[in-house]
Amino acid sequence: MTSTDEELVARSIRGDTDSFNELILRWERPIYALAYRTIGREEDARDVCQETFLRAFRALPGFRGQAKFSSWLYRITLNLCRDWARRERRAPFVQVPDDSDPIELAAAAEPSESIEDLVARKDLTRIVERVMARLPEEQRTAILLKEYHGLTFQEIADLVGCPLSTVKTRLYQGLTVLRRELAKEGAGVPQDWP
Amino acid sequence: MTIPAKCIYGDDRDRAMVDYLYGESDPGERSRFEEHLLQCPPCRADVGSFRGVRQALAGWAPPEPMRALEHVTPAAAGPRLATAPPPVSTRGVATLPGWAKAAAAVLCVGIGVGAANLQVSYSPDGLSVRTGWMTPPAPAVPINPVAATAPEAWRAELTALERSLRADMASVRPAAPPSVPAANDEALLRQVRALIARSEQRQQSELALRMGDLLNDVQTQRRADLSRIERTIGVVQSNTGMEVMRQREMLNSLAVRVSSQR
Repeated sequence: MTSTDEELVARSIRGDTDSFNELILRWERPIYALAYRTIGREEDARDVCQETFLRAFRALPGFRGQAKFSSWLYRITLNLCRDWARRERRAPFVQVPDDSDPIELAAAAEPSESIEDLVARKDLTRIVERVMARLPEEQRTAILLKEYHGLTFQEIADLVGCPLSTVKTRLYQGLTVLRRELAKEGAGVPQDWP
Repeated sequence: MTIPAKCIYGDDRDRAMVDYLYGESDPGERSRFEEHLLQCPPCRADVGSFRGVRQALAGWAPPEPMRALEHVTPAAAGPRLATAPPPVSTRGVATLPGWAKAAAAVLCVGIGVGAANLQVSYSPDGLSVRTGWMTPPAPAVPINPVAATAPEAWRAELTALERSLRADMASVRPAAPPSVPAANDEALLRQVRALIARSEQRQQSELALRMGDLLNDVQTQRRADLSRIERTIGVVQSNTGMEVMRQREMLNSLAVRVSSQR
């Protein structure tokens, strides 16, 4: 039977490091994804991911469970990303992967996807990465937490410490900016509503 | 942002729209907004284009977190986690300025040369480079060029040297090898046997240690593989979920369209 986060946290606080490792295995990918999408560099995202879990481990005895464990981890990650941005004094970096290897391209293709489709998908991904990097931090964070981590508006508001209505406004503004920037980049936004 | 003149939502338009887009409005509010969409082309256009933006966003997947947590994921690292300092990033070298890299390189070469005891000398015979800490034995007699000495002279010197060597050897040669008592043989054998036994024991423990390390490595790799498989399954499940959600949204929109046509 799979233990819940809360059970694993309680066991970790009692000194069961296996439980904490279980939490790491469970949350490593989302935390890395959040860090990567926030700062845009694989290596730095890995560092932030490691540091998040180390900080969480050290601060675990003080975790009272007012928020969900995942929200707590997300908050640590976002703080570390903010520290990174302050230290580097720059906006998220857009890493340009080298996709010129046709074998790699073919391996990355979905079974029903042609190479042309795959190239188009990769291009769109790069454009999305670029335009996301241009968003103001608050809007980007709101979109990341909603789109990729499925947090509710209330959870996002609690996590970033702002009113619920502000989260919704940031999300709306972010989507508006993205729509405009995607159009500028030549990525036609498909409209599934006439 | 411009609010359409006829939009009944006014200042609440953006909030109502994101509630609807992300499915966080209650059923009553949702159907009210859907009815509104039929009357308000700008809102309808916005919803359509925002869905397109969301579709574009859905394709942005971060690269695989290859060994993102190599220092902390294995269960064995658990106790270490409590005391271990954050892993040192190896990227520091890449970000060093050029002068610092050059200084580091000079320092390394200097240390290497010092450790190897490099000696370079230049003589009429040519350039000689020597390394290592063994000093070459100084020649007892200065070596003269062969051509400079007459054959008679060096033959006489050789004979004298041979004689003196024989005399020296005769004086230092022991009269007879001391006979070793049988008891000593026994002790020596015991010592050798003990040495061999100790060596075997050491080898065995070393082997056991290495086997343990190997097993640990295999176990760690196995866990990593299992977790990777689990993650992949999770991704597949979440993709399927997304697809189902998308299908449902399409069905909803279709239903709205059908009802509007009726």
